[in-house]
Amino acid sequence: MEMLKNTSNNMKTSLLAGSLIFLVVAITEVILGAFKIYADSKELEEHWVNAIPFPPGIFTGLAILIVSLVWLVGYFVIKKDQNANGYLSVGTILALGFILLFILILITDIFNAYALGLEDYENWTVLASLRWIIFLSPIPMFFTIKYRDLIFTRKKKTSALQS
Amino acid sequence: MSVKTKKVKEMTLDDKRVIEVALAGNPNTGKSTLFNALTGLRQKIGNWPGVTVEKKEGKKRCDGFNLIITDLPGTYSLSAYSLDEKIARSFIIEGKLDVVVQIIDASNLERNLYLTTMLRELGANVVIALNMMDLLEESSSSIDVNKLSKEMGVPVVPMIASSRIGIDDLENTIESIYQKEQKPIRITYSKEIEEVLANVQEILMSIPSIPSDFDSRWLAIQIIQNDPEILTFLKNWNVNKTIIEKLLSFGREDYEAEIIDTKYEFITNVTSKALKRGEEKLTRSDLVDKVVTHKWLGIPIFLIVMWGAFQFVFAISVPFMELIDMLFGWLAGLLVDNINIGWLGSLLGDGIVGGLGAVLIFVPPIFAMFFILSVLEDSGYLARAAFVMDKIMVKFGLHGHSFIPMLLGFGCNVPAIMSTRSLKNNKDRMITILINPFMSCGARMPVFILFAGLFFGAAAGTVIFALYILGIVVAIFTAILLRKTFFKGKSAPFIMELPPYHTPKLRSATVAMWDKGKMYLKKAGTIILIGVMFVWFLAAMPFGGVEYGGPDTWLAAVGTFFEPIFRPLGFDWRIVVALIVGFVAKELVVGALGTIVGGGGSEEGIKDAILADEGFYPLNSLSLMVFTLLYVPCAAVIGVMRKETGSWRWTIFAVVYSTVIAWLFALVVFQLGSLMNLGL
Amino acid sequence: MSNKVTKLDQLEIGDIAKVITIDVSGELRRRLMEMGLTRGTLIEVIGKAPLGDPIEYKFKGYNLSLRKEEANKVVVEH
Repeated sequence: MEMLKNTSNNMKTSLLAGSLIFLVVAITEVILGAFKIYADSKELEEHWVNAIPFPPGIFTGLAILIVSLVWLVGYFVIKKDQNANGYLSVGTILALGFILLFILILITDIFNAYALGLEDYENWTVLASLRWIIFLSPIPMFFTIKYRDLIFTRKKKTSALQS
Repeated sequence: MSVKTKKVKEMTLDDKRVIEVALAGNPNTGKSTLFNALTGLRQKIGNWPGVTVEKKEGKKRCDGFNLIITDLPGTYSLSAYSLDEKIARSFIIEGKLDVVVQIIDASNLERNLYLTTMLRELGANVVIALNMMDLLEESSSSIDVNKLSKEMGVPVVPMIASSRIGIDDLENTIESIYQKEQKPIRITYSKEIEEVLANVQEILMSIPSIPSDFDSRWLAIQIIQNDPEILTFLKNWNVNKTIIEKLLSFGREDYEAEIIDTKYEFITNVTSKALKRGEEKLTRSDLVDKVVTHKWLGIPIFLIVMWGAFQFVFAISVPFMELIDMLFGWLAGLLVDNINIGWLGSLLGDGIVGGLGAVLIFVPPIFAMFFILSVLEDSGYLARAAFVMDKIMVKFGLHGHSFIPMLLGFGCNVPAIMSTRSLKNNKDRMITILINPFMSCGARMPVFILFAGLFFGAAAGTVIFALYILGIVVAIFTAILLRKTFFKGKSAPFIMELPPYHTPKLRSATVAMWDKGKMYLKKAGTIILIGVMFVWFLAAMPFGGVEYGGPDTWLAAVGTFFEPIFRPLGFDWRIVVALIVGFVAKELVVGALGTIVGGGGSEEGIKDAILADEGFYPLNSLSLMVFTLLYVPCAAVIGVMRKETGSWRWTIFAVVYSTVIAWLFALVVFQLGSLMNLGL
Repeated sequence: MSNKVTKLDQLEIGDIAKVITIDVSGELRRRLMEMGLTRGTLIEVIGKAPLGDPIEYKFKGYNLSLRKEEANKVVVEH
């Protein structure tokens, strides 16, 4: 019983911490992204938002926000002494999915910029695509390692079929 | 009735025996995984006779014998009320099969065995492929395979199809039983029903024209349940009218419910012996469902999953599309410049290679779309997406499964229309197909960007956004209209299984992508190509001397001919020509305008030429964008619509309807704008 | 279970009930029964879609979604 309590406390802390960190990243992105859209629509090329070395993206910000909210709701579910494994799993799998997506985008961006030399990529830097992976990776990775058995189906060798 | 042919089929490719097998099973049991594992990529994909339901056949060489395997549609039952069930049942009855393999999800034994009882009652030689044993173990339940086999009277082969475990066993079991006659299963029904069955059987026995391989008990059971297909059977056997009437008079609605109840009682009895359930708690899937269907989180999660899917499709297809564009552009230019035999260079370059490029450029996004869709489907999330969106969709006269096709339409309407196959009810499906072209596909974007950018400056983004909204509004309006007129009735019941979540397999997603993408290449490819060639023909005629797409061509003549119709929308013949070209593919609109107004082919050149031209101004460019948004997206969509609706009538309806709607909306925009004198 | 007879759509999340009968005839009854909603089946309410409809149920070891309209035809003992 004591051990169970500990695990759930651990997860509670993890969920809250993960959620808050993602929340900060998300809100920053959304705010900067909103400024960027505003600056673009008014064609304010001198606007301070354009001085940031990577263009902020409002949609990516919203996506991270939702992952953060999933974990946050999970935190409150544990507080009510209910099972929050689903919240941990869904948030982590969504985040991992986005990381995979951003790695793919990074690869195609590099290809588009250097191999194809597309016009749209004149002001593009590797950092612009890489930063998401840097921001997003640590927490879901940590969750994946720590709560592996809760998130993914264990791959057991099925004894009944081997004989 | 026996589904087995008595004679051994000797004649084969390599003098081996051929065993004909059908693969039956409930949806979500891993049926296609098993089919692929058995046959590899040696599959023949066609349609079941007379219907648009896909039929897959495959071959498998085994040690000493060959298997010919037919994949039946996934069904929960064989009562022959749905199209899928009818196909499956009549194939089992008429298919001269040796063995029916039923794949069963081991963690969902009870409901799966319902189909087994029907197969056995039908007299099929059944082998149960007990799949997903790994998931069963995970849920700490267990199945006593020998007991199950004994109780059901059929061999049972445990397996994990996704890891190819148990496949060899299955093949050997098929071989060992294919000549043995299994006794039809006998479930004893209530006394009353048994008496009626005996009476019906007695009458049936006295009819000599019934083929000997029809089991009279099975026929009797169907007759007293009012099975609609039995009447057809009896008529085919030339049974006397009064006897038919007498037989049908035994049918009673209550019997059906009682028979189903009894079958499930039989199954419960079997599972109580063969299945040991783990502690029934909420499973991993149930816990995940609590999150993805959460009151506040459900819809946001759905939206970001869809956003992610779009990002994936976009990211992965851009480089491929650029490559195809570059390659074909280069090749077309090369041909036009270097073949000096007059029109031949233009035919090869502008016509064939250009046309081929216009077809192939859609291949990357379509393949990517099918890939990600298959991943989402395999994972189990797609069923939840339909679950989450159902209520909104029903309000619009649609169905939960209509949402994904609508969303895909923003990318490309071709795969979107193909994805409506997840809708089993024909009315729901037709409406979903017919409204799809109003979802503004990616190919319309270049037109919007060009004109909104040129004439609306800072408001360009708002204008484009408003166009997308207009498309959605027209789609919803059309859906409600169709539901109230041609497709009256309620949306099909939402009795949908929510399968447990799985980790999607790369292999099965790749196979699905190839299967579905290939069909686009074949079908739509031919139609687009013909369309492109036709436009080339008009743009190059008459032979000799005329500049391709210039003012003296037949294409220009067509434009001038139709100009009066489009005058009230503010279009002159040049815009009309661009729109006609856009009928083939929206990608061609901007290019066609370039050819006509000049500008040297580059985007900047076209912009300058349009700005300098008095025939283009904000108001008519707005009505042009509205028209482009709403009229037929491209020839490929027409082709796919024809294929998926199975009807030229509805395809033509869609083309005419959308063109009329486009004309009306553009008219309102232009005339209202002129009246209000907005100074546009 | 307090032996109160009600309709399936009236249950709350987490409730477990026993199927008595399907109160509709024709195709809908057959489909519901063939999916396993037969007499005596124990059924649990797993969750509702964000907009309250359809509803997810669990019985005979698997999950099925029904719209309220269809669930209203299933008479249960709760």
